[in-house]
Order: sequence, then structure tokens, then C-alpha cells
Amino acid sequence: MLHKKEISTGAGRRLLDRIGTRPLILDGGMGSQLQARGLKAGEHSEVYNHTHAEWIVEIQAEYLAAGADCILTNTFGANRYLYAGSGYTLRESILQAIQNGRRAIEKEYERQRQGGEKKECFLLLDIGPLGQLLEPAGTLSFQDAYQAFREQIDIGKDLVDGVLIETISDIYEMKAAILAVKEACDLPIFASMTFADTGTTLMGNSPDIVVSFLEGIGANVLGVNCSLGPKEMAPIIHRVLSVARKPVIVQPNAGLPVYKNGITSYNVTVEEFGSYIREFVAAGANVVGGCCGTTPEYIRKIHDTLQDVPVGERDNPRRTVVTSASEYVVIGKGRTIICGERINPTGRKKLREAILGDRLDELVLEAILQEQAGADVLDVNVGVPGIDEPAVMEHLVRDIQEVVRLPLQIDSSDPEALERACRVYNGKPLINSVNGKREVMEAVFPIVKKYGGVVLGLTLDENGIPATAEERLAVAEKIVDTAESYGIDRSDIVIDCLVLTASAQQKEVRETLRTLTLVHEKLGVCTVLGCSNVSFGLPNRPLINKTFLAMALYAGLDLPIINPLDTELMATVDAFSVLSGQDEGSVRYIERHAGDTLPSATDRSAVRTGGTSERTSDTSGRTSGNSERISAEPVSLRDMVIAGLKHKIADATREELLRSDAMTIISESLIPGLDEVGKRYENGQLFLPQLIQSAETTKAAFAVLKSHFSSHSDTEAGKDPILLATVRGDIHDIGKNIVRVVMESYGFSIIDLGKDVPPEDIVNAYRKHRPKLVGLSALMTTTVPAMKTTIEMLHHEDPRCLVMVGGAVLTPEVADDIHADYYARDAKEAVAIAKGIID
Amino acid sequence: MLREATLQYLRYGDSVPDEEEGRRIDKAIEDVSAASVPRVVHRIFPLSDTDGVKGIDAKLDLHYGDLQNLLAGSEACLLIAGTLGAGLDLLLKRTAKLDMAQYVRMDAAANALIESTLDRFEEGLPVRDLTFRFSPGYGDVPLTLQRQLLAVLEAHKRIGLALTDSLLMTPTKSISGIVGIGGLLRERSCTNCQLFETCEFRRNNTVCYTKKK
Repeated sequence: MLHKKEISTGAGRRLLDRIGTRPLILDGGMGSQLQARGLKAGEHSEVYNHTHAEWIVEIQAEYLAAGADCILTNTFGANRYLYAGSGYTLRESILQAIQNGRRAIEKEYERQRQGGEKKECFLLLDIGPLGQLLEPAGTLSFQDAYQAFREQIDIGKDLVDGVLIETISDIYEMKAAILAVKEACDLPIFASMTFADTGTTLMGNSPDIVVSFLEGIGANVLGVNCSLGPKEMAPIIHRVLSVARKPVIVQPNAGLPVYKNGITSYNVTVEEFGSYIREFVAAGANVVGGCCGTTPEYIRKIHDTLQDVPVGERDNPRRTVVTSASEYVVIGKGRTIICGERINPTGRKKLREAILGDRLDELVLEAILQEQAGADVLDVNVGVPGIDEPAVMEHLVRDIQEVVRLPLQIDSSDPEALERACRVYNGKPLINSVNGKREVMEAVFPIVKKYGGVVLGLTLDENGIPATAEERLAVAEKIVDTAESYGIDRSDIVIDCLVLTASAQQKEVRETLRTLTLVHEKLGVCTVLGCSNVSFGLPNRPLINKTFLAMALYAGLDLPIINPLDTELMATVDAFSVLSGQDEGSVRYIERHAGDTLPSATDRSAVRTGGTSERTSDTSGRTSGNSERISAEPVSLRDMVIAGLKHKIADATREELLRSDAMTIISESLIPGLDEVGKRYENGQLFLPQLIQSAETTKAAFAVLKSHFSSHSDTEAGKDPILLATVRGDIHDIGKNIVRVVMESYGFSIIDLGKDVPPEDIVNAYRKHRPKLVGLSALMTTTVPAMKTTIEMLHHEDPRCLVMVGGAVLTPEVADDIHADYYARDAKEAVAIAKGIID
Repeated sequence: MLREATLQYLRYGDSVPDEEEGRRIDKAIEDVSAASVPRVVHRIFPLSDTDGVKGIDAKLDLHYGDLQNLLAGSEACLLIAGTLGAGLDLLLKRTAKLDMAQYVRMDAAANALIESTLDRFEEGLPVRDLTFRFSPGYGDVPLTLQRQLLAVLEAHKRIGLALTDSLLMTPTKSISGIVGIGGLLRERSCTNCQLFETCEFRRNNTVCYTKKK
């Protein structure tokens, strides 16, 4: 059975076949050629397809005559974001560009006929970056980026021989473009990224990440262009050539740009350029051409110099790799890779409630804490009955990759949730999971093939979990074979040998360990285990867990899924790395454990009962954070609020609760403390960070009181939620965040929708939570209209909905103009307004 | 220098932070500097004069009154943009989730760093007598001019600085500007600022920019 989508016919097939034989030559610069003829900086060069079609045809024909096999349509910036306001529609300019390209090829064929030559020439649809940053660095959503690329491709797809997506700095943007091509047609995809002088792209993608991502998602040719000259680009190209298995494309600039009197020129000669290209081809580059500043002379040089140069052989090994945008993680190469298990609501009431209550922030915090604790990969599972799992999963993956650098393991039994998350994932994910059931394999493997990723295969099938290692191996083998029939290489599979609980199925612990060894030996694929199950039902679970982990690592486990906040478990991995020889010279171990003090027997018993409880953290986990803004160690809660002792106040609050009730603590200690801080802030005795620090300190006290309320079914402070959001288009949310913290410190319950929030989402949240007050923030004049729209929609939804606005550009007059119900100049006023409504 | 400017952004005015707060501010500056990858792109164009209106040979409308004032007396014009990069934004967002007070300090440190990055870049250019950096959105110059300015600089391709649909710069810690070379207007002033009415800095008797020495 053949599931791979093959490019089987036509020019596209011939183009790919051609790459297999000898170096394929692309054209050189277009923009710089047009600038030499009068194009001004900042102008749309695509307009010249219409106004100066003859120039375009002439330049392209010159490239072909100089020896190029392929030319690119003059459509680099022809997308809905960059081309708006050009005076032409995308359709007319892209079609005109293709027509110009075809005319140039006809001209070349005519020249060949006269000279008695015959060589096929190809036309590639040129796609450049959209000119906006995608989330999370920018505000452009993945879906919008996809739509923009799709629009270009739909216009041109039937009239070209392939698509070149080039000069892209962000693999996420590249992903949107590649999916747009794959879902529109079966044209060959040339995917070329651009790198900065730091050796990564401007968005921080390294060459290794770029290669594994592009190979995973199925680009036909991958490589590097623009930004640098061949000399500066050489280390990057050699790195790409040393890891890539697919054909590689290289298009350097003619050196670095030199600006003089408003004119741009480049500093590498035709001769030098040619010798670099020879070097790259000899090292294994399959497709070469020029980018900015190169001319037909450069291309002629490439053509002439490559006459006697065959493409160098590359036989790079396959590796099991997952990546985020900035982290590259190799599984199974001498280092144990730790997958953090904590983002999983199974058995964790707090997380389940957070998911049900739309407080994904709490899950994101779990992600940050696990990263700080040393995890390499994070499992993400939101499986709570009754939710829209695909939507929540997609949302959470986007939220986590906004603040965490680690690769993610997307974990769901719902193929739709897997697909939605894989689609918006920025990098090459782990996909958890498939198993030996035919139906599951048929649902999951196409997702793995389409988006690229490493899939985790569970050794169970229609008959359940086999009892013996040999039977589990057979299931693993079936998974690997079936995957390969979908075109998924075995290096993109890891096998979960399945842990059962020692208390119930004691004998099978050994079978699990034997399976690890067998899978390694017989199939040559990496192994994974979710370890914590083993101790279920036994006392002192951490002891069982760490002992089992050591045994499993010895049996060949590559990727344990564990709790990275359990320091003893993490230390077990460190110790294993020494004893197994992975950690040469014990360097890592000494670095991490040189300062360890061994607990006394009594301390150890404390560890046992304490287990691995929740913990809070500072940004760095290292800064002390606690200031003494008043001379002596403060004793009262009020003084602790004023001093901003946010790490100490929780304990003090618990103590105070033994003597006093929650309402008294709030009204006689916390609020007076906050009011004093507010006063000192107004007088210029305290400054913004200290105000916030005090607010956060109060919040920490409230957290203690809240748990007290819910356990005593007392009147709960601030049970009426307040909705806060920064409106669509606005990404500066510091003001809103300050308001949030200060309001929370006064005990209000806040639902924070974040920044750049579309009006529809705010209305939906209003519908769901029915808050008594909605606070909207906008920083720029350009986003006030979005605020106005939001208010209109909220008032349309419910005329009684009260909206408070604030932000740098707002005045009471503007607030009135856009029909806000309240204007708050600062956080203090926001609190006063909320008090008036809710108390 | 960076510390001074950071304190200015935190509206310290003439006050000084106590020792503990000072340490936190220093840590904020250190973390922000470590996470930043400052990049600057610039072009210098000779100014032409058509019927008394200054212009350059690029697609950039300079005919606004405030820009003409800025460029009066200048023979050339510097276009400049810089950013601290997307990695810093990640750190800032992450800190906002963990420790809002530190986030406020880091935000101020980042503002100080991007301003000083461009100041120092300008000082290192082989040109003299620069006016202050005039950014679109100031005075009678619409924010939409950002599109043209960043397009001429190819800021997206060269330094990864782009505009959103609502004309905000991303990464967020970025600056762009137009500068006269050989001009007379060295100091910025508040009078033309859109935020004149509501400015928090003015309320605290300070300004949002560093004064030239």
C-alpha cells in the first residue's frame, strides 16, 4: 500500500529527476537588476511586471542564456500584506509575472533552436516572506499566514513547474507556506531559509533545526539564501550539508551590501562567487543560484565553473530528533532525554479545574517550572471529559510556545486534537501516540506524515497489552512496518514499552524492562516509558519510582516521562549518566551535585511525607526577591505587604489564620497595607515595581485565604469575576497586567483574556462568565477603533454590560466617544470603579 | 548610563532606589541585556530640494510640516531602525507570568537599552550634527509612514523587524526614526506629542527621552 503523495507526472517530476543527475542552476537577483534600471527603494518591484514587462522578460532571458535551468517569477512580495496599495490585484500581477516568465523561456528556446541546443527550462513560482511576524513574536496568526500563502499558490499553481519559498527567517512561517502548497497541489517544493551572521535565522532557528523541520514536513529541496555573501554563508551551508539527507539549495548574495549616496552595491566578485559555488556543490549542494546583487555574469560563471564538478556525495545518518523553534533535541544518542509529565489533568484536580475554567495560564506556569527544573521535552495533555479537546489543545500549545523554549510532546487519544496541535506547533513535535490497533494507525500516521514529527508507539493492540516482552516486540514491529508503508522512517518512531503497576502486576515489571532491550536490539528504535505508574498503590511512591527508573535506564530507556520537579528522580538520571559512562568525566554530575548536602535521617522522613508538592518560583529561581523596605524584619501582615515579602507572606497568613478569621485579615491587615503602599506610591516614596511587588504579595496571601474559604464554605471574596483584555491589534499589555495584579491584590477575581484579543472572543467570554465588569486596554491610537468595536459588540450582546477602559492614548473624552461606561486613569482608579460595582 | 535611563523609565525622578530594589533593577538590566540581540539597519540618503520641499530618492513621503522642520538645514537624511529581537520578548512574557514586579523593571530596562543602542549606533556613524530621531506618529506625521520607512530599510528582511496590521512594531522592543544630518533641531520636545494630555512621565515632572549632552 502506498500512502506517500508522489509527484508522478509532468514538468514537476522532470524537475525533481533532473536534480538527481547534476547540479541544477537557478537564476540570480531580480530586485537588484531592477534597481539598476531605476526601481526605487521601497517600491513594489512586482508592479514592474505590468509597467516594464519587457525588462522582466529581458532579465530572465539573460539568466537562461547565461546557463540557468530555472527562473523565478517576479512575485517575491506579491502577497496580501505587502502588496496592498500597489494599485494592482494579486491575481493580475502573479499571472502577469508567470506570463513574463513563460515569454522569457520561449525566448530562450528560440535562442537554443538557433544555436542547435536543447535543454528544458523550468519556471518556479517565487514566494517570499509575508512581511509580518507570526505569533508569538508578532500578531499574525498561523491560519492567516496560511491563507495568505494559499491565495498566492492558488493563483499560480497550474501555470508553473514548482514553488520556491525563500528568504524566510521563521520555520513557523515556512510551515504555513509549505502546508499551503501541499494542500493546494503536488508541485515540487523548494524551501529556502535565510540566516543572520549569528549562525541562526533572525527568529533563532539553527541550521540543524531548519533541516530536521523541513525534512519532516516534506520539502523536496531545502536550503539557504540571501542576507549573507557566500563567504559568511559557508559555515551555515556546510552545517546544512552535514546533516541533510534531502537535496540542498544554495543562493548567496553577491557579498554584503555597501550603501553609498543612496545606492546599493555588493562586494564579492564574479570570480570569487564562482569558486564558492564550486566548493558548495563539491560538498553536496544540488541546486545553486544567486540572490541579491548577483547578475547574469554570476550565473554564467556558475554554469561554466560547474561543467566538471559532480555533486558531492552525502550520506548523513538518520537521527531521532524533535525540535521547538530554538531547541534541537536528539533522542537516543548517549544522553537520557527527560520528558516532563506534569501537564496532564489525570489525577490532578487543580489542573482539571484550570482547564474547565479557561485558566490555561496555570498550565503554562507548569510548563515554565518544568523547563526550569531541567526537562528536555514537555508532554501536553488536556484530556478532560466534556471539553472541546482539539480547541483547548491548540490553544494551549500556542500559549506554551509563547514562553517556553522546549519541544513539546502532543498527547491525546483524539486524532483531531493531535492534528490541530501539530498544525500550529512551531517545530518538529513528539506525537503521543499511536498503537498497534489498525484503526488508530490509520488515523494517526497520516498526521505524522503530513506535519512531520516523531511518533510514540504504544506496544498494545486490539488484544490489549501483551504479557510478554516478545509479544510486545511483535506489536512494536507491526507499528514500525506500518509506519514505513506510510513513508515514515523508523528514526521518527519511539516505542513505549508500557509500564504496569508493580502492586498489581509484579511479574510484568520485568517484561517491560526486557521489552526495552529487545526493541533496541531488534528494531533499532528508541524507547520511552511513562514511569510513575509503576508505583501506583504502594507506599513511598518516589522510592519505587527512582529505583525503577534506574533499572529502566539500564535496560535501555532513552526517554523517560517523569516529574522533573522531583529532584531525587532527576538526580537518579544524573547518577545513572555517570555510572553508564554517558556523562564523561562526571562533568555534568559534579556541576549539579557538588554542593549537595546529604539529608539527615529525620529530614529524609520529611521528604517522604512531603513528596513532590507544588512549589512556586521566582523568575530565575535564584534571586532572593525579598526586600526589607522597613528596617527590622516585619512581623505584621500589613508590614509584609508594604515590604513586598511575597515569598514569606503565605506562611505568615496561615499562622495568622489560627488566631483570626479571613475577613478580618483582609480588612485589617491586607487592605490597609495596600492602601498605605498606594499612598506612598502617589507621594513618590515608592515606585512602580514596588507597588507591583506589594500587590503580588497580597495576592499570595489571598491565595491562602481562598483555599481557606473554599474549605470552610465561607463567603468567598471576589466570586464575581472581572474580565480584562487588551484589544485586538494591541500587543503592549504591561498596563493591563499592572491593573490585573493590583485588582487581584484587592481580592477581585480576574479572567485575563490576554492581549490582541478579537472582539468576538471578548463577547464569547462575556457570554460564558457573565462578569459584572469588563476592562479593556489600548495603548495606541490605531487600536482605539478595535476598542470601540468591542464595546459596541458587548453592549449589543447585553446593554447592561459595564465596560471600563484605560491605556496611554485614552482620555475621559475618548472614553466617552467610544461609549465606555467608565474611564480609569490608572490601576488605583480601576480598583475604585470595581469596588463601586461589585462590593 | 543604562541604569540611569532605566530609573528614568521607572519614573524615579531624583529619587534613588534602596539597596535591595537597586539589586533587582541591576538584575533586570543584566537579564535584559543577556536576552537581547540588538540589530540596527540604516540608510543615508542625500536630500534633494524641489521648490523648497526636501525629499529623497526612495519611496518615502517627507512633505509633512514637522519633518520639513526637522530636515531644514540638513544636507542628508538618516533612516534608521533597530530592535532587541524576539528572544527578549519571550523572556519578558515569561517573566510577566512569574513575577510581575520584575517584569516591570525589565520592561523599563529594555526601553532604556533599545534607546541607547540606537544612540550609540548614531554616535558611531561617520556623520555629525544629527537632529533627534523623529518617529512616525509624532507631530503631524501619521503612523502609517512607518510602512514606507521600514520598507525602504528592508527592516523585516535585514533585522527581523516588522509591523503588525495596527502598525505596531514587532518585536516589541524596537525603534525607528528619521534623522537630519547637519540639521539644527537637536532636542526632542513634548509639545507635539500625541500623549501630551495623558503622559505619565509629565505627571511626574520628567520626560520619556534622554536629553542630549
